[in-house]
Amino acid sequence: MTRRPPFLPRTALRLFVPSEKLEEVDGDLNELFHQRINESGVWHARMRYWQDAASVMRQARRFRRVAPTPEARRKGINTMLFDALNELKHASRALAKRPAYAAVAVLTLALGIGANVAIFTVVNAVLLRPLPYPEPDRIVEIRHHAPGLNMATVESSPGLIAKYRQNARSFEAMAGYDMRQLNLSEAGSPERVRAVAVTPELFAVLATRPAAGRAFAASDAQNNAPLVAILTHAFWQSRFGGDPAVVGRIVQLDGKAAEIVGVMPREFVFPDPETRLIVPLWLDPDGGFGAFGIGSLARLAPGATLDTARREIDQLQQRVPEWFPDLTANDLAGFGWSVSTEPLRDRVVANVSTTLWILFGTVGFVLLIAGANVANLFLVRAESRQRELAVRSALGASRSRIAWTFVSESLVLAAIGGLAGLVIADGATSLLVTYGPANLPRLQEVRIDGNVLVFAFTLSVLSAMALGMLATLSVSRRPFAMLVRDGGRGSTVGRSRHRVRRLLIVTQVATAVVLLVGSGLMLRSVARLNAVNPGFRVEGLVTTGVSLGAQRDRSRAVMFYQRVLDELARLPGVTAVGAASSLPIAPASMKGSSFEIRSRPATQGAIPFFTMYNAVTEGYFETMGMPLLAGRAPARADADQDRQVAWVSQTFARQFLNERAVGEWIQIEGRWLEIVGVVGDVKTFGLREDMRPMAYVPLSNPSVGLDVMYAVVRSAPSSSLAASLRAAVDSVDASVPLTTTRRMEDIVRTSMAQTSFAMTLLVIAATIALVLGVVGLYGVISYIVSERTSEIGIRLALGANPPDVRAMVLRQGLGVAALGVAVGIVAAFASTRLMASLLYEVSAHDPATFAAVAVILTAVSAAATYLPARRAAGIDPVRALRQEG
Amino acid sequence: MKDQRLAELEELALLIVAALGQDAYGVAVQLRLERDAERRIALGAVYAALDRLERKGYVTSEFGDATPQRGGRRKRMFTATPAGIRALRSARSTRERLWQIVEATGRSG
Repeated sequence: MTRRPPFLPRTALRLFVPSEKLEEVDGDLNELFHQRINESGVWHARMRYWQDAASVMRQARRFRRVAPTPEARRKGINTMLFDALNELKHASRALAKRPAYAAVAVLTLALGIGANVAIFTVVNAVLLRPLPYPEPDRIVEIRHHAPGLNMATVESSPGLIAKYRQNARSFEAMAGYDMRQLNLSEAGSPERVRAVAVTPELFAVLATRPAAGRAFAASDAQNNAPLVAILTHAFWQSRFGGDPAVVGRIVQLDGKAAEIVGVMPREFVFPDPETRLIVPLWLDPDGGFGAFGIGSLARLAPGATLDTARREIDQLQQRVPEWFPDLTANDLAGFGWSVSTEPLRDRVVANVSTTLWILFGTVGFVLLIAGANVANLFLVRAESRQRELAVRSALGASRSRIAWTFVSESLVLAAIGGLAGLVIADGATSLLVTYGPANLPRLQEVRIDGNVLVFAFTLSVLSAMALGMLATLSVSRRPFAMLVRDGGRGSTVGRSRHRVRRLLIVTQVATAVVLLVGSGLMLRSVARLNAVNPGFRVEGLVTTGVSLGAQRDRSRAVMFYQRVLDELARLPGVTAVGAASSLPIAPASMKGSSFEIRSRPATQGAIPFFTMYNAVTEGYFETMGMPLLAGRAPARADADQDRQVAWVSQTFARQFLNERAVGEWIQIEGRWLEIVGVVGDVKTFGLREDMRPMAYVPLSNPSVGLDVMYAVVRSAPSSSLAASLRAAVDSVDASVPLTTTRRMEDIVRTSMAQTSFAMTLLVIAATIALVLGVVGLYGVISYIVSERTSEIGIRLALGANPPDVRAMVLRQGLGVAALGVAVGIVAAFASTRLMASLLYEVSAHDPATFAAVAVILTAVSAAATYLPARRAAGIDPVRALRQEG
Repeated sequence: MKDQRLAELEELALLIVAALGQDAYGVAVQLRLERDAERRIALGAVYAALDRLERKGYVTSEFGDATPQRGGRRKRMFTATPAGIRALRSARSTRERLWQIVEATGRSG
């Protein structure tokens, strides 16, 4: 991430510093900022930037002090506005006289507003802002699903895309794409690059052309056409230094010469930010139904809508058996075949939209609690000012003028709170971007923009309105004449205001319950995920991808990998080594295929057997710590002599072969293989997924590509392991690129990043909610007790027992709290199912979590009520009554 | 008539401008103040001092070059004028005279 100076002070500078000084000031501040990052870190640099910017603005204001005189200003401005300004000034002064009250109110509001603005900033960038293409809503992705094949989604295939192009009328263009890993080399230094292969129609579908050079022509995507490539803007900058003459350069891709024909614009991101290179994709127009895994995007034709397109694609499914004669309608039913046509944006953000909306809702609750707390403070203050207001109204102030007093005070509070909230949001957003899950899509687009400022402003004004209205209502309900008579003292305070207060407390407690239940469920999910057995020993396992690139001669590739493994095994501290074409938890590429079993020939129309498979070397199972349950482990000779053998997982053996797998023969991709061993299951697609049938074959099996192998090394902890791995591979061939060396523990943790992220934020929000809620409860009960001092004094004087008084106050507080807990439990019960997709092996209505939260909140409420209750019981009747006099 | 005397911060800033020669601009002056004079001073105060020095005719300024670190913004480069150097000299000699008195009376502690 590039380090930018904090957004807010920089914008403020642009607004407040005269333009003739801005050049110098902005430049100096930028320079200092970068220098301080290097010297003492980014947070110190940010802090000093704020200080320096503030000092410069104070300075700039002094230059400008040729302000109009008050008289000149008054002229031409209508009196109402002037009164309003006057009232605001009055309110500011009144607040300045009560700094503690003002500080608490502003800080509470700032926390609530800041949290909301921070999450909104992310929601705005990720979910609300349209994709950076023209008419992005008209781009749809068509995906096919075949749960009967043990795969949730199979995307599309060349055959299906060809048939849709011929038959569907809803689209003006349809493109296919497929992810690639390519070895790019140019003048010696090799690099493994994530690339996307696309059909030339993609540029029409996205309606985006390269910023320099040309897009792919139909001729580029012919079989055997000369290879061409287009760079993304980021890759052009990082690898080619933004060289304007890059178009026309020749680079080596997987050992073949390729010409760079274009550079995409800066905002172009497809399909993800890690993709650096675009190459042409050839799709066989006569391709079959299978060969899935090709993504398909289309742009709606003029006149077509998402609905009509969806209906057309759904209807076309009935013709699939007619298009592909080797397929029957029965087969499709067996696959559980279905199709979905969704806007591209929904797909890009599908994984995170639930998380983000839940977080957004969560911080909304936090603001509600914060607002309720400030409202309570505000009410107390409003009441203490009743006499002043009564006098003002007796002297002729109108009701609206009195209302303005409250509104202006709440406006001042909310304005300062909102500004402070923006500062908090600015910092919190940087934290989110830095520490948020790296797989959050569009994270690079997160920034404070006009939408965010409008949102912050609206939130502040709404808070101010709500506060002002509440105070005005609670005070102006009584005739003012009465206020003058007994303003602020004497009789017990009207019950109506206590009702407002109780309502606020019920809301706070209920909200805290909802948030605590939510975070409790997340905590339990993460605990469950941490306890999942991935099927192999994660600790001490280090992996690196060795990328030889596409090779013609398979036996030489096998030999190369064997030599690399031999070198790795020789490193000090290394106890076991092995390699596989794909690793569990976060597989880079995993092959899937239907297969046959010799001992049980498929009957007509039955669902074919389906398994995932990959290639493994000698030592792989042992290094991973996967138990060998039957048969023998892989040996070097299996690959060297191209033995037709396979190993299968426990689930495979149970599901297809009644646990007796060794000695059976299976056919994968046209080759018959003898099962010679059974190994334990692993979590192939991540901790959340079920165990799936897996088959493993030797490296010599031609159905698995050998362009990248992932070496796994079990070793004692060592800081220099990455360098030693590199050196060991260099001793075989220094021109072969390695992917980053990663610890398996990190890979597992990354796979849980989104869940942990949501959990952390929910726990923080729930903690704030709990603290604010308890403080609110304590404050209100204390206040009620202090208001009832005289009444309690009389009771005690008339012979009430102090323990009875204590019980009375406790009952009152706990009654309100219990109502809040009850409302909260019902609300949580209704709302937690929204977060079901984030949970793992925990019901959204987990009784233990609900019960624990209810008990905790009741206990905490009891504690918060006990203190004022004890004070009430300790009231000295004589003094209470004398005060009254 | 304008006050032509040097305040303490102005004197330090002017000294630094003179010492830096061709390389005197806001950031450099602030860093010198922080490192050599061991004073943490906000950038705004540095500008204020430099602006006052310019109004008194002790420094002149013009725009210099831009660097990528500055986001393409140009520097404002300061040079001490002969009047500025004279003012520094006179401030120094005033101090030296006073020090001689302090030392002669043996009250330097």
